[in-house]
Amino acid sequence: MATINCFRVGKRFGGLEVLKDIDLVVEEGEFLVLVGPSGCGKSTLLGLIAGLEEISSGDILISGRSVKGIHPSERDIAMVFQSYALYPSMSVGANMAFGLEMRKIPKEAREHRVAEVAKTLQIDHLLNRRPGQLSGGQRQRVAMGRALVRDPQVFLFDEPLSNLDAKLRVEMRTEIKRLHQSLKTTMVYVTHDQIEALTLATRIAVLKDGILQQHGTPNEIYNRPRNRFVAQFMGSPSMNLIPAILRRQDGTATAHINRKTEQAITLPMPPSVGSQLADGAAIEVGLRPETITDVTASEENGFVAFECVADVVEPAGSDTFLITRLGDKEIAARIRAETQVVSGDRVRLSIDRTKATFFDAGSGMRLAAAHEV
Amino acid sequence: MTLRRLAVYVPLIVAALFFLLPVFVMLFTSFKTLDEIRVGDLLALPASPTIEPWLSAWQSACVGLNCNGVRGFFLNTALMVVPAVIIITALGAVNGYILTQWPFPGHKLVFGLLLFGCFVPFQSVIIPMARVLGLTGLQNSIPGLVLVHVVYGIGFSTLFFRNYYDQFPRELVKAAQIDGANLFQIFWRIVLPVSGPIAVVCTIFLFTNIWNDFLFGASFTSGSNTPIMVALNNIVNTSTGVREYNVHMATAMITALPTLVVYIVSGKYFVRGLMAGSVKG
Ligand SMILES: Nc1ncnc2c1ncn2[C@@H]1O[C@H](COP(=O)(O)OP(=O)(O)OP(=O)(O)O)[C@@H](O)[C@H]1O
Ligand SMILES: [Mg+2]
Repeated sequence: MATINCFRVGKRFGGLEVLKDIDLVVEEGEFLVLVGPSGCGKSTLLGLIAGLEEISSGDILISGRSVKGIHPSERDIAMVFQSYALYPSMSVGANMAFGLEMRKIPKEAREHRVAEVAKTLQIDHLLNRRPGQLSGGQRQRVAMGRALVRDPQVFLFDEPLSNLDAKLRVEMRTEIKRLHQSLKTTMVYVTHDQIEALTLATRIAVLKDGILQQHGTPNEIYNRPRNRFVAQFMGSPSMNLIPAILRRQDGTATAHINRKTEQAITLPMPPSVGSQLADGAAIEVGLRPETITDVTASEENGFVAFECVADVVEPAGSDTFLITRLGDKEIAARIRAETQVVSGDRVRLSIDRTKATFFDAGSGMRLAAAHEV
Repeated sequence: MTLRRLAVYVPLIVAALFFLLPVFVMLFTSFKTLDEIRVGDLLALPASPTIEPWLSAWQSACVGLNCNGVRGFFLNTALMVVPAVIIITALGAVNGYILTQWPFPGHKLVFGLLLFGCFVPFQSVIIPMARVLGLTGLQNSIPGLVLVHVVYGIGFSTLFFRNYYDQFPRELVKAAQIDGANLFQIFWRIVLPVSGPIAVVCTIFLFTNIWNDFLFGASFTSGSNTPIMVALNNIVNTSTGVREYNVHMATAMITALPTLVVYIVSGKYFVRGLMAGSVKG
C-alpha cells in the first residue's frame, strides 16, 4: 500500500501544455477516479505516475519517495490499459507471468502465483490460449490478472472497461470494487464514465483542459460541485442550469427565474449564499433532475411548485424523465413512473429548494453556503 | 460470368500470356537438342526431350576458360544472397523498432537519410564503392558484394519495418516496460514474434533484388568470384564455338529458379492477422 503525492505537476508536449499545476494527494488504500472529457489529460497524468512519460514540472512522490528518474518497473506499480495491451504472441499464462519472469522470480513460484490469480479471476481454464482466441471480457480479465500477479503497491487503470458492452461493464465494475475492498491497495482509475466514477471512487478528481477542477468524495462532487463544469459533468442526465436574477430585499435573498408566458418562479436562497453577490446579479440555479419531481401538496415541505408543458416524455423503467422548458432553458425532471403524462400535457412539478445550488453566472463558480466553508 | 468480370479477366489473361510466352519458349528450348532447334519451330514442344542441356549448364558449360558449368557461380550467389538478406532484414527490423517505439531526437532526419539511400542510383556509387572495397581489401570477393548489398538494402528494409511497426500498439511497449522488460527484451519477446508478415515481404523483395543483381557483380568481381548473373552473361556472350541455345536457356532457367521458389514458398507463410487479439477486438 502506498500514498501518491502530486505536487504542482505539469506536462508539456512541445509547446502544448497538457497538464497545469496538478496538486493531488491519494491516501493509502484510496480508490481515486480521474474523470474528465476526452483529451483533458487523464491518461497523461496516469502515464506520469507510471513513469511512462517524463514530468515537465513539479514532482510526484509514491510512498513519500520522489519517483523522478525512476523507471516504471521500479515504481512498484501495475497498470491495466484501455486496449488491454496483451502480448499477442504469448499465451495467457505467459502474459500474466511475464512481469514476474522479468523480475527473475523462479518458474515454480511464477506458475503458482499465476494459477492463484487466474483462479480468483476465473480464467484458469484459459491459461494456454492466445489473446487472439479470447472474447473482449476475457481479455479484460487477463489484463487485470497480469496486473494482479505482481501484487504491486499501486494499481493504475486507464479506462479498463470502456471496450466492453454495457452489461459486462456493470459486472466488471462490481468486480473491481470488490477487488479493491479485499486488496485495499491504492488505486488510480481513469474513466470518462461518470457513473463508474461515482460508484467506484472513494475520491474523485475532475479534470478539464489539464486543470484540476475539483478533488473530493463522490458525495462532495455530486452535491457540492465547485463550479458549473463539475456540476454538469457528473450526473446523468446532467444538472439543469437555469439563468436567474438574484434579488435581495429586507435581508433575504431569492433567485428569480423569469419565464416568457408563465408566472416567474422565486426560489429562496440561504442568506450566506445570497449575500455573496449584489442585488440584480446574474446567477444560475442548478437543479438535478431528481430535485424536480411531481410531488403533490408539497409547498409547505420546502418545495416550490410550478406549471409547465411536457415536451418529451422518456420512461426509464423505475422513473420517467420529462423534458420541458424553464426560463428559456430545456430542463429534465425526474417524475414517478406511475404518473401518466404524454407529450403536450400540462403538468405541475415541484422543486426541492433545499437541494438547489446557485452559481455565479459570470465566473461559473458555485456560491457555497456558510457551513460548507 | 458477367460482362464486367469478362472485361477484367480477358485483359489479365492476355497480359499473362504475353509475359509467359518467352518463358515457355525458354523452357521448351532448354529440353531440345541443338539439331531440333536449328530446324524446328520456336514454339513447338520438344520432339525428344533431353536433360542434357541442363546437365551441361550445371557442370560442363564453359564460362570464359573455365568449363565446370555454373554450379560454382550458383554457390557464389547463394553465399552472397543469404547472408545479405539476413543481415539487411535484421538491421531493418532493429531500425524500424527503434525509430517507431523509441524515437530519439533527430529520428526523423535519420529516417529521411536512410530513405534517401533508397533513391541513390546504383551507377553513381560504383566508383566510390570500388575505392572503399579496395581500401578494405574486399575487392573481387563475395563478402565485398555482401557489404555493398547490405549498404544498399538497409534503406528499404528500414522503410518496410518502420511502416509495419508504426501500426504496432504503443501500449504494448508501455505494458512491457512496466513489467520490467528492457529495450532488447521487448524487441525479442514481444515485437519480433509478430513480425513474420513483414519479414517475409522484406525477404522476398531483397532476395529477388540481390539475386538478380548484375551491375554490382560485374563491377566488383571477376573470374571465378562472380555471381551467377554475371556467369550467365558470360556463357551467353561467348564468342567462340557453336552457340548452344539449349544450354543458354537451361542456364537462364537455373538462374531464375531460386527467386521463383522463394515466391512460391514464402507466399504460403504470408500469414496475416498475427496481431489479432493484442488490442481491442
Ligand atoms: N505523445 C504526445 N504528443 C503530443 N501530444 C500528446 C501526446 N500524448 C497526448 N497528447 C495530447 O495531450 C492531451 C491529453 O491527452 P490524454 O491522452 O491525456 O487525454 P485523455 O484525457 O486520456 O483523453 P481520452 O479520454 O480521450 O483518453 C491531448 O490533447 C493529446 O492530444
Ligand atoms: Mg486516455
